[in-house]
Amino acid sequence: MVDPTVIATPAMTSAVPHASLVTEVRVPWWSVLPWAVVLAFGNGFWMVSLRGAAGSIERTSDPFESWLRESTVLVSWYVMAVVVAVALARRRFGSRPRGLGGATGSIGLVVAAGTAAGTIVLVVSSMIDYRLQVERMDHVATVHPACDDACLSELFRSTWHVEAKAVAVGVVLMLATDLALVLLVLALRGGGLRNGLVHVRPVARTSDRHVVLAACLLGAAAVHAAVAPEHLSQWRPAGTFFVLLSLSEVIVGVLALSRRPGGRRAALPAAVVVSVVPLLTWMLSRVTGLPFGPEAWTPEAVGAADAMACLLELTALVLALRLLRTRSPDRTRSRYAQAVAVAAVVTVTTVGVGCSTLPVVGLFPGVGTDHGAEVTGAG
Amino acid sequence: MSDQTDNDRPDALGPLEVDNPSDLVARRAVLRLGALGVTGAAVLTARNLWVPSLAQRGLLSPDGAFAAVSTAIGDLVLYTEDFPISPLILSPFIDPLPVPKALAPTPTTDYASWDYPPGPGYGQQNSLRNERHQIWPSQLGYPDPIVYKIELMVAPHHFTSSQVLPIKKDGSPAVSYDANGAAMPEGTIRMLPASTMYAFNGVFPGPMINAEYGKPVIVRFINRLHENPYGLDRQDFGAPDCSFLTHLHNGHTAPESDGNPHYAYTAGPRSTSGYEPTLWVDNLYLNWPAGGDEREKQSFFWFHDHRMNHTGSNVYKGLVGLYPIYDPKNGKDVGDERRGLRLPGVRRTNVDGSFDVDYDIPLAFSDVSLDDGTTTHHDAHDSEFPEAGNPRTHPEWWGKTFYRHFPNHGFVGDVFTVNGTAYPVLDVKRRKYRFRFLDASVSRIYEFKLMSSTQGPRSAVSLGLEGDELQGQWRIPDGQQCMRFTQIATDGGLLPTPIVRDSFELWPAKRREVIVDFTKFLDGSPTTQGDIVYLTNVMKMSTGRMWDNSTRSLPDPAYQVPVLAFRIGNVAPDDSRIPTTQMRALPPLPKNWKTLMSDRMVFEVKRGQAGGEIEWLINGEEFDPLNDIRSLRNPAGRSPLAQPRKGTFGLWELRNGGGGWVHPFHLHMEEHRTVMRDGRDVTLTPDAAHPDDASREDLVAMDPGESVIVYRGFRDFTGPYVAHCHNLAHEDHAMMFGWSIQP
Repeated sequence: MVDPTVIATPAMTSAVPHASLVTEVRVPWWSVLPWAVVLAFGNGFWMVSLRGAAGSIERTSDPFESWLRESTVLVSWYVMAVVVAVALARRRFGSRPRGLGGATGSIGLVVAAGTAAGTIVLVVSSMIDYRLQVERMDHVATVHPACDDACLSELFRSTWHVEAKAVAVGVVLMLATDLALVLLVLALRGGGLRNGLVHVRPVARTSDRHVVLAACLLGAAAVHAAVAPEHLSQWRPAGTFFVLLSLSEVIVGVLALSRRPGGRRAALPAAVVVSVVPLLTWMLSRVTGLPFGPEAWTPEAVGAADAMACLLELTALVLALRLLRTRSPDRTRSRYAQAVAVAAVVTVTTVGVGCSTLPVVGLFPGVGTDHGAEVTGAG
Repeated sequence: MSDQTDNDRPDALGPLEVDNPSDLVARRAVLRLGALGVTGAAVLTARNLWVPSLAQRGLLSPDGAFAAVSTAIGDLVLYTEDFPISPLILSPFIDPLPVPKALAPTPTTDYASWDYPPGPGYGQQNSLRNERHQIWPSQLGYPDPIVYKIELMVAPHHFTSSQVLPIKKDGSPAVSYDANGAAMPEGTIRMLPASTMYAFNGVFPGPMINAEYGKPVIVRFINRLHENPYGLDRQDFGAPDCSFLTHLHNGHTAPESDGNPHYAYTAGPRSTSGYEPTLWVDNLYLNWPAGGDEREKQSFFWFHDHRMNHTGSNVYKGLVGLYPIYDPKNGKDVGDERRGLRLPGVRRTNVDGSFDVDYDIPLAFSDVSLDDGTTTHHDAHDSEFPEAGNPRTHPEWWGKTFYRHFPNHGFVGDVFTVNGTAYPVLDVKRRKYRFRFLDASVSRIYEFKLMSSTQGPRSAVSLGLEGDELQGQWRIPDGQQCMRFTQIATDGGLLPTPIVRDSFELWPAKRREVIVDFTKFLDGSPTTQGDIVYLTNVMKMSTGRMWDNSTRSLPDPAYQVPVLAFRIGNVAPDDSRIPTTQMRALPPLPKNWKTLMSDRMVFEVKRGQAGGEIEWLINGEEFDPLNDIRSLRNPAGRSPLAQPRKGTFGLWELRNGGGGWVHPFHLHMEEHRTVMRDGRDVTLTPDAAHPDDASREDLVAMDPGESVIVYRGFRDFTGPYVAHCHNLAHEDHAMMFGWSIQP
């Protein structure tokens, strides 16, 4: 039986030797991207509104700006969720779902994925709020002698109860909103529900893993660039290191995307180097402290930005090592995995950049950043 | 070679199972038009329904929209704040308005024999023997203070002598309960049981001290709240440790006599919440204007409890007293309408040394909620009242005052009282009166008008109203404005010149003084004996956040709640006049005040959640009674501690960052003058919504999202003070900051 969504033109099949062709299923980006955007902003609206109702006071300022900023940086997170949903829908209902069951099932998966992604963000946001609220209540207890341990426990419990209630309310609100938004986008596109687009194309010159490797390196470069100004202001050599590291990662990342096999091969050992060096430096700085600098042998606290950068570098290192060992051509038939991987890398990057002290892009204004903070009294 | 294919295009639908291609086009068109239609309808509906509501609440901005949604979520789901429906008072405007008489001072011979008589020495300021008065009157060339003794007592109080009908939220008759919690059938007409009050000298409102500038006063407050001679149930509100701090609201007072928690935690009681049972404190009120400046003289103070975390419940429970202050200099405002400004008032000197002033009447407004026996008592303070066993209902408390420590809505009651009596009547003569208005409510703001009604008051129930519309219990549907007020003073004292007003707002803790001429109506026709004029509240405020409707924001002509009836009687001699010349000049602003703007102190109030309820922080900080707050970074790039030097002046900016709330923000120690409101200079032309900006005040009325800059001084005393929201539910939930005057 012929898949009616496979499009292979006679020109393509005649001009290219069969061995050089590969059939792939492409992500229906014209559905995925609008859905991801509206889900990000729709769920973001509820997240910010719930924060205003139940969140910690440090995070309730300028809700409109917070909504714009946080929703924008979380679009890639929702892209990842929607791609996963569409992939599952394709597996279950085919590239072009048929009948009421196929349509509702596909839409339901997208809605569920969007709500699940929103719930995870909401839970993380509530945990940040709760941590801040606990810190404040601890302070309250120091100036209210009448508030003993039992009183403090009751405050914690009540606070947690409100946060949990807010999350539960948020899930319901997001579910309803996501359903409405997904249907609205579908209707605005005139229908045409698609879970995948099947193509026959020549073998790609760059593999999916090379693309993900490049994304990791570029992402790590972005995070390092974001924290460079802060380090430059603290200790110029450290800042210079981050600038050079960032540039190196950009160069190697671009090289990994090269259409020339020689360029791609050369990028792999370079990727190992630009990943290993910062990883080792980071481990040293967090465990024993660097042996030089203004605060030699003083370990730094682990911050969200540096943790994200390390995650990207670790992924890049693993990918580079595997690509060095595997020389067979990449014949991946689905672009879903690549899309999810790149979206994940972008998400980690945006979180990392958002946790820097750069103005505007900061994800957590009012909370501050842990990056660069010193560990006191700890080895 | 391109690998682009047709199904990459955004409008690609791929092969479709349609018999006719035109069906496909039609389906797409229908879907798109439908989606656009739904979106458009949603936008239009939101615009028509939501935008006016946002505008009404001052939230018509992107941030405001979020604030409104957050508030709605909080109200509907997170912080359910259920209040009882008070029994309907069946016969309003029967009980006479209690007109307080001046408290008699303690004779010198009496207090001289006390174990610890008042005095200027160390250890003489309180029973802890650890303080002294910062300035004794003799240092100002003033006589020794007049001494008063006020005991804080547990006492019963009746808000009405009328029969009541227990009602439900829909207005239908409800069950009620006796003191043992036994149910009585629906519709049983009852008398209200006495409510338990914590009160100065056991009366609510507490005693009135008629003071005069140049004649200092010491009030010895003695805590006897541990005693319970009437065996009353203390219920579940009021400071659980029965401690107190008494604050003379806006008295120019040294910290040890100011009764503020920043002082109480750093000196005097130290590390306790206030003066505990059996303790006493001498609060010295010098009756001396700030800096000795005649222009700083005020005219109406009140004193109330200020115990940290329980000010709202203690004030609601009755710890309120009145303190009119007269200015004898040149007889300007001495309570004698034949002298000085000739403001209404006939002074009578009493044999005990006090004096009363006829036709000069304080009106203290407070709203109460009475227990219906079926509303669950539950809030974050339950553990402080273990005997109450909350959360649970308390049928045995039916008809008594109900309180809830809720900081989200604030607290509003549905029964309006004046001088402790619900819906009283005042027999007035056909002449001019001076009324001193005080909002002693926890959260409620009022807007008053003088109205007449042909049909008279009708119960909200009889009008078919339900739920929040039952607040106030009575309406005058045919009410028409019949008189005007001539406003002569604000909380900062006499205005430069009188302002004739159709209505005025009264925010919590604010005072307004007006002259009402009962000889003629608005149209010039004379009044006649037996005419009734209703003091009517036209501001609907179903929650303590802010008004739902008022004259300046979507007036609701159906909301006309008579609060007090004036029954006009005979003609009486009237030597008073409405001043046409300057009453009291404003202290001048320095010419360069705008150059001080960049280095102003900045304080921003915001709301968050902690401990399972809303809390209110200032500059992101919980109230810290031990330390002074730090200003937000000001335009000069500085974030100084709030520690002005003695004898200096400065600009303070207060920002309302809460969204959807109004805040009556009170600054202790000296009154201030508003210079900027939302970035606009109001020194020449006051804001239309806040005409009182043209006067001195001790309380900043902040609309939602507003920024207000005030000019104020820090004269004569040193030490710790506070500033806080006087929505007492907010104050009790951390919306307060400490500051101090440095030597």
